[in-house]
Amino acid sequence: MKKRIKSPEQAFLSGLQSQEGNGYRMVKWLGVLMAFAIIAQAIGLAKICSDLALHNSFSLDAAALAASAFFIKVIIQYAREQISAASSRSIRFNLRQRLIDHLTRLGPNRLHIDEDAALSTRVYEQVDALDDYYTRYVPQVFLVTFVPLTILIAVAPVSWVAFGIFVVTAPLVIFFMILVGHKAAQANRKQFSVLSLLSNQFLDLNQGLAELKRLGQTNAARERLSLTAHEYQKTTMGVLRLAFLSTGTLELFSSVAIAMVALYLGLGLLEQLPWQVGVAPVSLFAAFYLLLLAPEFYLPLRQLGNDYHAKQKAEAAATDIAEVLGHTQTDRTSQTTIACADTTKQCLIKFDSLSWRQGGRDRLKPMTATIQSGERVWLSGQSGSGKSSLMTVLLGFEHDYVGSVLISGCELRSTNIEQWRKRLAWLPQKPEWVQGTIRQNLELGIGRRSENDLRFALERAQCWAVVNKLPLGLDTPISEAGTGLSGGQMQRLSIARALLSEADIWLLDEPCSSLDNETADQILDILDQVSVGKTLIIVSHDTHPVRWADQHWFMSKEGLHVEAQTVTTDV
Amino acid sequence: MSKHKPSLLTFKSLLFENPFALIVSILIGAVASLAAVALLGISGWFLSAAGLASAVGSALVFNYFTPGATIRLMAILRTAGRYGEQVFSHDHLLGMLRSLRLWVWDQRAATMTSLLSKQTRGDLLQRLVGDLDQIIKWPLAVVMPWVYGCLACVALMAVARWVYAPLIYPVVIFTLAQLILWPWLANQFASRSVYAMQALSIHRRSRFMSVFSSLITLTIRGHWHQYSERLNVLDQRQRQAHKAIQQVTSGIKLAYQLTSFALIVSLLWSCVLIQQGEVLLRPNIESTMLVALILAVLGVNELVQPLATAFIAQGQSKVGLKRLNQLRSGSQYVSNSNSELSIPSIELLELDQFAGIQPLGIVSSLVNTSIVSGSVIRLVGKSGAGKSTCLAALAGDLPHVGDIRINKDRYEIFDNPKWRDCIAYLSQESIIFQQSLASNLRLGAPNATDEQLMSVLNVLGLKEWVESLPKGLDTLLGAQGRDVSGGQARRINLARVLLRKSEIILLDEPFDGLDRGSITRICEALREGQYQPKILVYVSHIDSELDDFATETVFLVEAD
Repeated sequence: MKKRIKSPEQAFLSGLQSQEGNGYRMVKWLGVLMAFAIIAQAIGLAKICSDLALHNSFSLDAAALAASAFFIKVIIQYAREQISAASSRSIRFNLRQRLIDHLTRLGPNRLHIDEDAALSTRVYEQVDALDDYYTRYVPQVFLVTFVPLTILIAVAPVSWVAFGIFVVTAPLVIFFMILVGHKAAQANRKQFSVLSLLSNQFLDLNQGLAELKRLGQTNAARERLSLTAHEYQKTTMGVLRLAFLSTGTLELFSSVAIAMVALYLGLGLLEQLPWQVGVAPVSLFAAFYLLLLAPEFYLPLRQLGNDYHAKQKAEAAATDIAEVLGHTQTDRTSQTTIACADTTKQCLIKFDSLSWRQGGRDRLKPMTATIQSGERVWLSGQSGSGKSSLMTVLLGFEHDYVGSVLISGCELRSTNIEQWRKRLAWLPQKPEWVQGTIRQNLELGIGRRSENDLRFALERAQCWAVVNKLPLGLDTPISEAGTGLSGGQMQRLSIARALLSEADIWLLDEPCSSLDNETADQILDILDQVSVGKTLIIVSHDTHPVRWADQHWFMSKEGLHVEAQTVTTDV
Repeated sequence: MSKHKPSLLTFKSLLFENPFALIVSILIGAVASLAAVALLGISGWFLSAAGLASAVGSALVFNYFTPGATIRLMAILRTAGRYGEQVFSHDHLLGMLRSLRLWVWDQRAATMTSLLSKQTRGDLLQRLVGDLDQIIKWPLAVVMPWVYGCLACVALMAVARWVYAPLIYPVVIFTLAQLILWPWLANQFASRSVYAMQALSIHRRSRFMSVFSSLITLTIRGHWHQYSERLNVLDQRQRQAHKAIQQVTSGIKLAYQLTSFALIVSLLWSCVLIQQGEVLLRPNIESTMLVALILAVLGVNELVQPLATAFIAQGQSKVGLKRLNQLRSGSQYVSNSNSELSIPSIELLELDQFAGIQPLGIVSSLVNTSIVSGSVIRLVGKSGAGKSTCLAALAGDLPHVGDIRINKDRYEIFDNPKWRDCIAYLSQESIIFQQSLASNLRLGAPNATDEQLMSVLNVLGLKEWVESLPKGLDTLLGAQGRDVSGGQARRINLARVLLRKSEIILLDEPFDGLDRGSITRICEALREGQYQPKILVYVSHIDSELDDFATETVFLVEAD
């Protein structure tokens, strides 16, 4: 048997599905039972109806059959829903856990995929977008072949004409369904992109709202919003009208097919069929039986048409999710290539022809350099030359490098990463703060400190005056929205935190680049004063030269250029 | 300030948002729904009547044209009605989306300038996209199915009454159960889970952002596991909420099916007499009509199914409304007594113990001065003294202490649009909108001609740049358009300020990132050129020609 070639996202989705193999097998078997229940119910109901019409009475057996079939059907429906929802939950929540773990392991490399806000959308909304696929579409796919086939077999012995009508119309319905699905998916995509454009415009105007108020232009902006929303409404309705029209055609098509069956049955009962006048081809019981089964025959197909967009949505989401998981990071190699041979007279950090390639791109050109304990290094260079990559390696988030990084003579990837990281202080461009108070952030990971310790650190970082002026002082909460503290003040707080942690190796990635010149100079001065005796690597553009550094490393596309510089420090 | 009054959003206000469109779509939908039920009922009657006719030998005189035509009509009404309903209801929905977005904008515009930055971008986006989506679903997912169910049940009652009067009682009980009892029960059992799910998803996201933005620090400090565990706990709670909601939904669906089943059983039971183990129909009941009624019940059963999940939409839109209404909180401030007073032409501006207040409550240093028309003032003070804060307060962006007097009369300037009309203020941050360069500039002077725009660009040294652009003034700026450098952004903001030609100009660091030549030209234009204001107050750490003409310099003194 030829197996259909699956697209990568389909393979991804069915891979996840197979984790819940048992659940879905159960759902399948329940589907088989349900098909039989549908037929049994039709037999029972048809019997009741025809007996009622003809004899003004009905048999209790038929009633019992119809009733039990009905009960079985609704209970199976309930069970199927429970099982597939549970499977979907377990698939989604496990996948989410996997994603978060993976992103954690990627560390700063995750930003090669997308920014955090967009990643959170993938982790939450996109994973939840798989729900409809696993609760509705997957169970339905089986039903859509099995139920109509069972009904066909059940109809064949009763009426060949009805059988013929079903056999001829089913492929047409499927054809329409695919057409409708594509149209709806297109409409959906188009609508989504316009909608995000609309939100973008809103956020853009909102961002400058203070400026608009200053200029007295808020109402003009409102007009603009109203106009674009109005246009959006018009174009979207155009697309939707088309999409609904095709759904309508599909509905019409299946009801025409049902009407054909009904017409045949009605005329047949009245013995008025053109080709056999005076003869009734079916009994009233058979007529009811066929009429009750006709909608059931088309129902799974129509339902699948409705759920088709669930598949489209899931595939789109799967692409995004698989991209995250596909972004691999090699685990730490356990083999110790170079043992800590001689730790006595080694320099603190030694890069020995270190380079790093990822996904066919040079993240870091081969470099060789050393840093002695207590030495301060200014690292500059063009963007994309590998400054941040070097930081990533030093932070222990990338072990797949070539060459070696020796820490006091030990290879970085074979040292205890936890202990190494404990020695580090990290100050990126945008200070990293968790939700909580200033105090909680300062004490993060180092335990309670006395008021005096905190004050001393803040004074050295020259932000005690500011913190002290705050109505809540050290207990002022810091959040994503900021505290109302300026970028420079936040950076000073970061310095205070680094001081408190007593880390001896400081890594700084463009701590001044989002600050104005005056503030940037102040921050660099503070850093000069507090980092004496620490080993320090600071990435900074040439616009903010670090004159107090012992070495200046310049990184370019060609590689690393080291120059000693005359240190000008105020200390 | 604006003609759009902030009002509370409620379910009622949603219904009356555009009642005509809503009523039209409900009417069309009602026709389609009733036609669907009638289709089943009439088919059942037709088939059984035809069978009966054939059995008693009156098939030849049986009129099958009228019922046949009716069935066709119902089929067409059903399909066309569904289509019409979808088109009209989605049009209504999009209209609602538009007016709700404008509502959000109005709330934002009415918020005090000093509080604007409290709302984070992510949070606003969540409300604008997520919460709005929940709300606009409400008529389609809750109101409409309920109205259709109601109408179908009433129709069912009428038919039942007609077939055999006592049948109306089980139908009434059925109606009460399907339309009131089950939705109410679902709400009782699951509304808390629905709210929890909504609240958790917002909480979870902000936790994710907070934790991941500090990922490296947390891993270095060895605290990552503790934080990621908390993230996981939130996720597990979300899973519980999902599970609870899903179980209630399935349970309610089951209840709906069983209620329909019970109705059919009781209808049959009321219509039959049991004699010697034989089940016989009561003599006064027409069997064909009973068949029609039973099939119609099956049709109504299909119709009320969406109600089983309506409680979710109800809960979600309730939370959505609540969250949107939270945007109003920032806009409820007491309007100042004299903010309606118009401000006269300014001859003398006096600041008495004046100081700006930062959002966190830090007060800038105090200023005491009187400024006469024709003055150029440079605010000087040591770093951190609050020069920018003071200037922002003077522009009405931040609240202040002390008094401001214009021509000897006290005025309240904070967030006062009248005051804003008199001044032009260049704030510290440069803002470029995603619009054309010309539109960006015309925010300062909506009616400015292209020549006027070019002349101000010339002063700022941007003329050559604009002329080098293929689309010139029509070049799109910002995220989707052309990126501008920091210096260019600064100049475009400055251009807006100059174009306003206000009597008072307040400039915060106007020369950051500008070359000498431009600085000189700007200073000339401000001092004696066409852009000269009556009063100019500025803060700058770059010395310029303006300093030579600064008639007075205010030293900010430490408050206490």
